[in-house]
Amino acid sequence: MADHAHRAAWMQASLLIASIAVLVIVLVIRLQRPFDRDTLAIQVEELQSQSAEAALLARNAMGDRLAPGFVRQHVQQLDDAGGRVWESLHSKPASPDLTAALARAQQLASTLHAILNPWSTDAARAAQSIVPLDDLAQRLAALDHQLKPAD
Amino acid sequence: MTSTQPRGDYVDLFRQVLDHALFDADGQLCGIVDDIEVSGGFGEPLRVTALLVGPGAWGPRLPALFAELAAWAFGTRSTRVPWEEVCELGEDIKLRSRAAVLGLGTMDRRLGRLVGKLPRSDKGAP
Amino acid sequence: MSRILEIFLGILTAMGGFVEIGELTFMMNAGSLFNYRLLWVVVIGVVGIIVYGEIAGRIAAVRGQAVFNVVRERAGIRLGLLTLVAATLVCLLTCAAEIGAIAMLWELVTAWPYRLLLVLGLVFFLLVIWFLPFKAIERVFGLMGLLMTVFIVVAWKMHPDWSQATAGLVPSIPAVSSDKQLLYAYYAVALVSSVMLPYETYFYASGAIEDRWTPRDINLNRIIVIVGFALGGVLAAALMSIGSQFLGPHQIEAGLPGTAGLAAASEMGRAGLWLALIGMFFAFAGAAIETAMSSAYDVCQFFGWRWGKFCPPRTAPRFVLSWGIVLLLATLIVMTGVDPIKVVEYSIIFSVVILPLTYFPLMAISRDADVMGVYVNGVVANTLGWLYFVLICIAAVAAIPLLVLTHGGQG
Repeated sequence: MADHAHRAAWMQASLLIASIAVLVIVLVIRLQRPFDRDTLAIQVEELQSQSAEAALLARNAMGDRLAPGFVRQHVQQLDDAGGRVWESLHSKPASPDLTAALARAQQLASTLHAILNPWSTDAARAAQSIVPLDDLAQRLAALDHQLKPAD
Repeated sequence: MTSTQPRGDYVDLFRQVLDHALFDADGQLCGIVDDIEVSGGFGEPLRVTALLVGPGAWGPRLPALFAELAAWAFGTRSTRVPWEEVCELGEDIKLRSRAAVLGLGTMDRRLGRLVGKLPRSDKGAP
Repeated sequence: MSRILEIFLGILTAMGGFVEIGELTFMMNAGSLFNYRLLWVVVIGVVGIIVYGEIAGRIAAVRGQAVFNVVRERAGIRLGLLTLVAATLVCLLTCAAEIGAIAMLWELVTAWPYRLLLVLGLVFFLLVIWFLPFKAIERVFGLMGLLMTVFIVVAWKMHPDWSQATAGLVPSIPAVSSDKQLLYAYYAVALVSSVMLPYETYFYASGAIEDRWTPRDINLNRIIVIVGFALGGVLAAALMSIGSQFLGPHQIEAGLPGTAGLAAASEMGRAGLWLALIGMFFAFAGAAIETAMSSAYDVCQFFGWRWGKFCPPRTAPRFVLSWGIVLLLATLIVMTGVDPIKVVEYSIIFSVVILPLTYFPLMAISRDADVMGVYVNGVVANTLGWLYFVLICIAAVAAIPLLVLTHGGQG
């Protein structure tokens, strides 16, 4: 009886480990796959969202509706979020037909950081950030539309 | 608590006993019925002799892999509560004696000495 | 305390504790992406949590037993243990997300380092749960969470499109690309899950026992869940409206708690900003406490260990250690730097997968006349209960495929 239970336990353990291994392998393969239209568009949309939100933040800061400390910290958090997207864009290549689009997205991610980083330490930069951020959001929206025209 | 009495001589062990909470003579929760001990061989009447409480009782009810993991993680000890200790059988099971007398709740008493060192550990806060 | 006052406070507490970081994010994003087209899902989710909240509270009042006692009795040790492990993991992830979100809120105000704020958050929660009585925990965080009603005012001031909102109460599939339709389905499942998060029933039923409810309190239970959760649903709908009016035109996705603060400030200036930040703090803190305590309630109820704030801690040490360990593990999870918003999004999707495992035992007990006596389910509770059970089974099956097909809900 104990032997039977032991054998059953080994069988179940083997099945469980095999299932987990398959799941992990599938996940790793999926995550390591080069950017396709869908996955690259996700990153671009995130950057566009962050740019647009930063522009809104700047407008409300100019309207004196926000505490300066909140503005600086929110900009910092947006910059950190943008940094995560930047790292993701530089973590793997894109499929051959999307190489140019990936390079463009990387460049725009760097532009976002270049606007947000100085602003996160100097709240007075809100005014001069609005136009560049609006422009950046539009360029990212255009890139997104280029990647997924149907949406 | 609603207390339903067994119908005549009929007790549904799975429905009314197994996996039901145990309360001691002071009305304190002292465990769950993790397994049931019966006596009697093939062709003989079966008698419930005890309720079993503890990882040694619920562990073997799991699939083989998890039974072995449970035994490794929680041990194989269980406490035997003689059936004669049961005084009331309803949705919760009441026992005649206190938990400490029956050997139930020993882990709570041991860990309680550790937690008892913290301030305000002897005050309930409903 | 007079009955009227108790009902009033119960309703306000239920409303103030309705929204947490996951629901806030999903509601605003649903509004941003699909305007009001998912409003019908909010209504469905609110009715669902009312149905199961009422059932869980009634079982607690009549049987004096909470959810995981019922799960153990009706599902047995194998399925029950699977439910317990899954529920505890989901509570742990949600707790981690709330602690992370609170640290992000404090970062907005103090500019202190994020990881230091996580540690301070851990200490804060350990002290609050240790020292405050259960009633005080319920009332303080529930009532102060009512500051979230600033979002209802903000939504009103944004002049919502009422005709679109009304149309959104009728289920429809938007005429968009197939990718976007998949995303719509994903959000439908996520919104139902975020409103019907299982820890809410675990905590509510356990709280009913902490409060020593008896069958006399069944009507109190009904009024609190119906009115309190319905008002909470109004707050959720307001967040969706803000998403539609404020974020949607700029294609912004709410990925930070500060985004909601920005929305409040755009209409109400600094006063709105502070009300929103303080309201969010209490709402998220309440959720962190509830998820930590729910985990402890669940584990102790399942194994028959003494539990409850009404017990002196040294007589229920495993209950104390359980919530303490959950808080510690939750903090460690967000210390790794993982985005709390992503964590809660995943935990919400996995929550819906385990909902059928939680709700089936509740339905089984509540319709058992031997157990519930005259307080057994009536026609309405039975009908709605089983209807919702079928609905959440469908959602549970669809959740993971939709998560995969939409690249984690991002389109």
